[in-house]
Amino acid sequence: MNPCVIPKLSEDHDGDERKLSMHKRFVQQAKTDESEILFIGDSIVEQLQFSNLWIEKISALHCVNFGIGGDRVENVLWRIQNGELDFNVKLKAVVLFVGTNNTDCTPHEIFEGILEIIKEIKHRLGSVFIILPTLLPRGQYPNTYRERNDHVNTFLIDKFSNEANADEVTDNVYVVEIHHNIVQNDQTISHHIMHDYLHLTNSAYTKIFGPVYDKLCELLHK
Amino acid sequence: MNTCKVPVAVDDSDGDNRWMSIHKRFLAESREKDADVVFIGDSIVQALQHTEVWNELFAPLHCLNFGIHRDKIENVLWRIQNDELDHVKPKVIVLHVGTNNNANTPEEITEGIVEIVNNIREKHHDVYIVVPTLLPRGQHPNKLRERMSQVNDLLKSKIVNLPKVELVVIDKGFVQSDGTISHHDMHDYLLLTNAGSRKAFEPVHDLLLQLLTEGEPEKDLTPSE
Repeated sequence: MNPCVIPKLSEDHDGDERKLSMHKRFVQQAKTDESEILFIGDSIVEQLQFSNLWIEKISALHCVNFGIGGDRVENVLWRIQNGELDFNVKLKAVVLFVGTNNTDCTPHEIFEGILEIIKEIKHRLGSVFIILPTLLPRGQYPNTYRERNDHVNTFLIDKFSNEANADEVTDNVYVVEIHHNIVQNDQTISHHIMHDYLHLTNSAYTKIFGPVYDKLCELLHK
Repeated sequence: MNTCKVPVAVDDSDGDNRWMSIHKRFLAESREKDADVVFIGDSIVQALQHTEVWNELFAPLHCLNFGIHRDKIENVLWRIQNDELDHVKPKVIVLHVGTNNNANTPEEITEGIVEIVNNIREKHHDVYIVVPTLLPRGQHPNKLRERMSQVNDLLKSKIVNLPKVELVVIDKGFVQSDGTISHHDMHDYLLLTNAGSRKAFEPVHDLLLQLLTEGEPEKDLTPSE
């Protein structure tokens, strides 16, 4: 059975239930917020909200950030099935970015899990735009995690950017390829782009997530 | 056996080996850069580097940040025993680690921190070692908060007699009267926001200024609350 399609609340290994607290806060926020755009996913989404790109540009689009560090595909699936999409206002776009933490899953399992999330979003929100930035490479040197994320991206691009595969799932879903130009010619990733070889520096957010912002502007005619 | 005192590297060589990459980069930085202050520790130290507070208060003091997210005491101990502090000659080392040692008792955590202090002292006979108290965490009261609080109490007595080791109380002002911690201070109820960083680390900054610009710090004998 594919663990990525079985919704699961993030486990509380520490004993302070921080992730549940964040989830509850997000559910409350959805009820009262008047945002038009939801960003949801893992730590890379979470940390985006502290970047200049968010502060100076993205926030002007009335966006809300439901990123939780450590989240896996099945955790995001659980969250959207448990109130995080129950917004008071009609959302115009959802930016979905999760998968890098599913290091014990196959690329296909991760891809299926992302599809499951997309179906759930469509089921609950109807004709909303869904933006899928491609998963980022990680680690200073070539490694199996990079290969996994790359593979997932191949599936995503083939499904959503190939018109031959268009169906009701691909409708209104836009893959934004942000994973290029990160790995250098010598196959390393610089700590100037990813300070811990996973998370983006402030300037890298501008360069790498800038196209996501552009896509949002394009779709929403801003 | 206290696991906090047994140095352990984080091994993710089957994965993307980031921890070792980061450790090696710190080794390189310690050789290439002059620093008056080195911060070493866990998630809270690492996250601090990306706040406005770091740019405003600490970068001008020529600080290096050797924080690694999720590090436990035994990981920091390993890094120190594997040369991370060997090629720097700072005037002050700020040590902050312990919140991720979930499987250890307050006594073990305290002993582990003291073990690190002793290791630092062996390498740097004259450096000031600053130990900020451990922070509360979680939105609501929980056993981790109790553990951190007990560690802080134990540290006060263990450290008071160590020469040139200063405990700085930074954990007050986070738990509100209803027992909750606000996400305005800790966005995920663990890591500090800009506002939270300022609240916690301004006292550290004040102490650093004293230690860096004067011969001896004024010993504040009033028990801090």
